[in-house]
Amino acid sequence: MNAVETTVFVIDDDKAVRTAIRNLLESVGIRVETFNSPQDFLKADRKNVPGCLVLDVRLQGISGLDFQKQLAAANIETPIIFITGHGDIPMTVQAMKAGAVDFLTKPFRDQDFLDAIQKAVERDRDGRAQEAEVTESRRRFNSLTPREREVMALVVAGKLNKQIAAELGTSETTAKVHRGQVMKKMQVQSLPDLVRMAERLGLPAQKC
Amino acid sequence: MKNNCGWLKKRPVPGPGSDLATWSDRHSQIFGLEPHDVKHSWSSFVHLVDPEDRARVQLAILTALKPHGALEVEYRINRPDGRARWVMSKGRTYCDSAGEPMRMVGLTMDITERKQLEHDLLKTQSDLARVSRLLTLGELTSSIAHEVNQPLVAVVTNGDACMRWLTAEPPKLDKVRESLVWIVKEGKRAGEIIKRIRELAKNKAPQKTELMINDVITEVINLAGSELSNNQVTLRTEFASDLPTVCGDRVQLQQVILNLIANAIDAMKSIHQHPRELSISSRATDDGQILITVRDCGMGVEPNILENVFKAFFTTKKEGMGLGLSISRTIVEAHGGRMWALSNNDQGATFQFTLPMVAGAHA
Repeated sequence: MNAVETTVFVIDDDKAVRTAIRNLLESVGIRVETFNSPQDFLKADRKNVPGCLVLDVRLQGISGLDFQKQLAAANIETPIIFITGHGDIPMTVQAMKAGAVDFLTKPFRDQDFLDAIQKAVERDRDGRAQEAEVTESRRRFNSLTPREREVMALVVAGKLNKQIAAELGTSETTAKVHRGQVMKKMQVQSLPDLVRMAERLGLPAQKC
Repeated sequence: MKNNCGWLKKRPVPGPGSDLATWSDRHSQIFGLEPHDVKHSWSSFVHLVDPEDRARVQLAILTALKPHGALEVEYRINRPDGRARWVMSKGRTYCDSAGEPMRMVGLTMDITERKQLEHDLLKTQSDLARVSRLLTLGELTSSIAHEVNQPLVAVVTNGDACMRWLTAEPPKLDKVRESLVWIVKEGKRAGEIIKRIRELAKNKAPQKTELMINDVITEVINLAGSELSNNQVTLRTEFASDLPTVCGDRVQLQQVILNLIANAIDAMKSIHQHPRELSISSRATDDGQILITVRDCGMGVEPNILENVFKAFFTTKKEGMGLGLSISRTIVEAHGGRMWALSNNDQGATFQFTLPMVAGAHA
């Protein structure tokens, strides 16, 4: 993992524990930011770099699982590793279902912890890469004219040029030109590529 | 009363210099002496008093030797037949017209049985308190386990970090030292927590010492703290600084606070519509008391059962024994304080108790 760009955020109300985690992560060259409470974490001016969040299930005033929901609702998608004093199964299942990367029982083996961190950071990287792709696709889609968007929707729905022309009341040649423009502006080579991109953008295939 | 009373007449003024006293037959019997047989002197009387109580008894008699002086003192005697008894002597001082003490007249009662009953009662109360304490500790097992686990996490994780710093090229010794400082500190912290739990669980006779009540409360919070966060309870504390000390048994007072916190957590378990808040405060009152307040925002207590909650075996909980508050109040009253419950205007209940400040203790 590229340690320099990565930051691990640790929230634990026990100073000794969060310092210990900081020491361990820094000993393998990972940047760490620690917080006493979820509020401090939310208030902090965090760098937008790949990383993950290490969270105790017990937090002051809010359970770690509730905080996980809050983060999801606020679209903060940093992967979470839970650490807990008592890993009871229902809680673990709930956390994992809600997307936690791992659930470690304290005290944990350092290698297990570091492996979990690596997995989480990779997941964050992948997530960020996908997000970047979506952003790029959206940018391309936004460059289409309204008519081209209509054509794209029909193409993606599997319509032939002739059907598109009929539906839009234009000639088949015009439909073909529009279709060419869509492929060019969306920077795709084939119909399947265009369909995938439409899916990524969440465009409804049947409607519009 | 007649049977265990004896007349004690001391004439003239009793004291080291006066060896004349008139004792009734019954009075002599209480002291295990043959009636009319013994010359009752001040020194032979003092000799019968248990050495541990001797100074106290002499002081009590001497301070009663003044116009309208009254004596009331309980003490142990060791009779010539080897039997130890508890007695109480009451007396009055008579003075001449010049106000000089002339004689002291009084009686002595054998109070051995009463003392034994008192002792048994205290023992029973202390046993009961311990059982209840163990039950409360039982409820907090997961919190306590967490409190011990935390320093262990710090120790193990710092140890792992140390090994990695040592294998670095070159080894990062300053980092190693930093982690080692934490390891030592956290090892001690774990030891302290275990010590505190053992004290709470131990069957030790109550022992009164001068205490800072804020320290006593803080120690309990440290034990129960994660039970609070585990139940999403936010704790607010408001401790008056520079409070005078109180005189009490640390373990028993911790038990009272532990019990109030455990109750508050229980009372808030079913609350979901607003944040769960527990506030604990301490302050001095104008009449020389220290007032401790524990306020929750739980289900509350119906005003008509506010007094019932202190009755033994009264409980609103499914799994409760109904002993916690009754024992807590007994403990507080044995410390010379009072304990009561209030129903909050908005939501929840407030429990308060007072403890007398140690006289002469300064803020």
